[in-house]
Amino acid sequence: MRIKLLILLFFGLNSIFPNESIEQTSLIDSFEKGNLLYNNAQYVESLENYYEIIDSGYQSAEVFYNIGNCYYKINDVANAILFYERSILINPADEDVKNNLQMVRNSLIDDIDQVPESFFISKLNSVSELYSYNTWGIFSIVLSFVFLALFIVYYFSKSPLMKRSTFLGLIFLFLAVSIVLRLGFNSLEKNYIEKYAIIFAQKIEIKEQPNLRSDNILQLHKGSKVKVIDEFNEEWSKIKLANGQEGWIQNNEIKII
Amino acid sequence: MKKFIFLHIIFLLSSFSFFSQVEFNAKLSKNSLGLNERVKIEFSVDKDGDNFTPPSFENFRIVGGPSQSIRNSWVNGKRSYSKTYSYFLSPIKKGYFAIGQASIEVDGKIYKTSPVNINVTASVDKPVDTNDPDYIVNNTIHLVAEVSNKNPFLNEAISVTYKLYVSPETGVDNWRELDAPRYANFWSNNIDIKNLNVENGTFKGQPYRYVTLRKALLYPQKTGKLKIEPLTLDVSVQVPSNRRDFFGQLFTSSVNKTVSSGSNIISVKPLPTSNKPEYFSGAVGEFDYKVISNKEKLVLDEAFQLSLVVSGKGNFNLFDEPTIKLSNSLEVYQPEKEEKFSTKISGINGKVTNVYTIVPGSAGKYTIPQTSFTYFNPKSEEYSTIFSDPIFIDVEGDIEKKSLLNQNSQISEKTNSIKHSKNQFSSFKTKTKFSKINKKPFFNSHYFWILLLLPFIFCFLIVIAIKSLAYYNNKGINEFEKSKKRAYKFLESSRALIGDKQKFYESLEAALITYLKAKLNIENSDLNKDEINVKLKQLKVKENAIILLKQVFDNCQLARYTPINVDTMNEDYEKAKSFIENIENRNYEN
Repeated sequence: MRIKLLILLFFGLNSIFPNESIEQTSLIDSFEKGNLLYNNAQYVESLENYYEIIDSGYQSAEVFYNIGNCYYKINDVANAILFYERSILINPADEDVKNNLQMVRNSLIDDIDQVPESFFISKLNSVSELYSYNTWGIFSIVLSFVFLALFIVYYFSKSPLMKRSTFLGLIFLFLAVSIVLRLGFNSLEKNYIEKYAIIFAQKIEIKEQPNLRSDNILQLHKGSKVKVIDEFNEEWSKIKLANGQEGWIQNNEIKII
Repeated sequence: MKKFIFLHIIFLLSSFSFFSQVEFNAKLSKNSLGLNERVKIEFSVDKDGDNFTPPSFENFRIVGGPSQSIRNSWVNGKRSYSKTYSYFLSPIKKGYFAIGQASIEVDGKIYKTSPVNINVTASVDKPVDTNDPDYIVNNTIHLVAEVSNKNPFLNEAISVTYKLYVSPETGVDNWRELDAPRYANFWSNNIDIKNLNVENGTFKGQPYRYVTLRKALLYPQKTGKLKIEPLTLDVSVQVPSNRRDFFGQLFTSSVNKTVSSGSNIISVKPLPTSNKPEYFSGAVGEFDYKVISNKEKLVLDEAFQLSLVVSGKGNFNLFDEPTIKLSNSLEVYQPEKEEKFSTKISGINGKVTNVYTIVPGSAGKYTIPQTSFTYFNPKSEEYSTIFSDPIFIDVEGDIEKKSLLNQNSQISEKTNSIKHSKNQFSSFKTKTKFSKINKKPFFNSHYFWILLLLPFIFCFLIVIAIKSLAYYNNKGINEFEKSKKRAYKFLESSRALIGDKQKFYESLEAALITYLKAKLNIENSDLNKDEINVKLKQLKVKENAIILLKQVFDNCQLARYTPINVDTMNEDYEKAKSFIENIENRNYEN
């Protein structure tokens, strides 16, 4: 019984982190070629190599980051922001990406006020950004296995001191698992369920309704990040700004992160 | 050599005379006259001629003349000669008449004047004396306002030029502006005239000299009919009189005359509304627009200057200059405006530059976004928009920022402290691990939940397994306890039944069998004395206890057939009880 479970666990983990070493090496070849070209300031050629990787159906936080750097160097601000944001989606903890994103954000014209979040929410967000949701998931699983181990110790130990301390440990672990899960869900919500987009139009009017006749609510400029909350007719997206304003924008003016 | 030059001069002079033509023409003092007026006709020739034949003055009567005068003058070495025959004529009847050709012979050739036309009208009240200074002034001084374009677009440059035409016969020695023109609904710019130059021109077909008095550049600010107020001058005119001085020169008399240019109506067209761009600046003309940054790469805390330059020709000062919207992370100071204009009659040429001084707040890339300038070109009658290219400014972090203090002190030069600078562009990543795109996240997947809940399920399973194991272990003991209770019950009832032999022994036997069955795990069918003995021995029950039990069982058998007294019953009861207690006590000891 136990062995079976272990086998199941092993295969389960294997299918989550597949071992695709052969494909990986060819991808790494393109990646390193791209890096070399980047280093020689051949940014456009470098981009081609990086795009090869993405076109073959693979991604990584680093390749997105390097693509963002290429766009930064060739002064394509909107694309640079887009790819840095994509990199952050995969690995929210990378300081380099955050640093470069901050540098390119200087180019933004729109200054959208953030609606102030409560202390709890902002803390939660900042902590959940430390790791990706999958990492949080693995943490929670590891913690639950530690819980199991500790439970066994608790259940079979005879000494009351041991029992008491392991019981405290169990309570602590249970709390830890639920906190990690909460962080994971927060991260999942922010990075997977919620859709964000970057504005690519030089200057675009945000409409009250999804048609061109309706009134303009506000104007946005290239590179601004918006949250996509609704869609209509595959042509229009309803967006929400950080300051809570909502409006419609044509899909061809934005790119989903 | 000298001789040669002399010959040349002779030749040149002679050739000059060969090429010069003889001019012989007729000139009337006025082309139109009343029946009761007179006209003077002059036939002048610039070479000495003979055999002058006047025309037959049909319809006219000669009232004076012919009189002959010769003028000969040398000006700057050039000789001018004129011989004039003049007649005074008085018309006989009304109508259009032509005065026929006069002829003269110069150097053996006959020259003729062309006929001149004259209109004789009805008699006038007061015969105009052609020598009257006022008459001469009225016909010889004209002030004209010339407008370059009477049908301009709104804000399109037009020019007004005021010219004073003066006939060659008169002269002007002074003027005074009585009423300067006001240009209501125009944006006006007077163009200064430094030197008054007298130029030759024609006015209504007559040769005139003119002087440009005033030039103004106007930009209409309103559509519709606009009126330009006239310029009025008070001119003092030198008019030749009839009298001549001793040398034959005419005396001149000075007459003051008020002349006005007359008002001009200009109809201003509005700018076309079709295709009018949203961000039209109001500029009309021909422009060029550029955005220039003096630096594209700088170190943090350095400032750079951004210039928005509008150059060209048009209504400068009358349109909105382009502005730029910059990122909030840039500290932008109030722009400095530099203007360079030259006003010409065709419009204002120039350049307006707005220079923004900008200090970036942090390191990174800044975009100076594309800006546009829209103007209306009145020549092509179209709007055009010039877009500036976006500019990218790279601001590097403060790697080697040295304060003034540090530069002065020698010691700090030696210490090369390398601090971690956060404001630097991070380079590319060299190592990576790829994953499939569009993979569903592991978090919140089925696998995830199974793996997460598995340990908890294990915990439950462990608890349940241990509990049920314990339950199964305790099950036999419970049965035994129940049977023991039942056995004690039988024992109790048998005690109550002492005396009733039959029932007492049945009860006693039942008590013992129930107890032994539970104690020794014997099914009903297996119950026989031998097996009981074996099992009891296995339990290591003492031999005497077994004997005791055997006696009781024997008595139970006996009691069915033989009478047994109460004492034996009591004894058997005690024996059974002690047997059970004996085994139980032993058990407890274990």
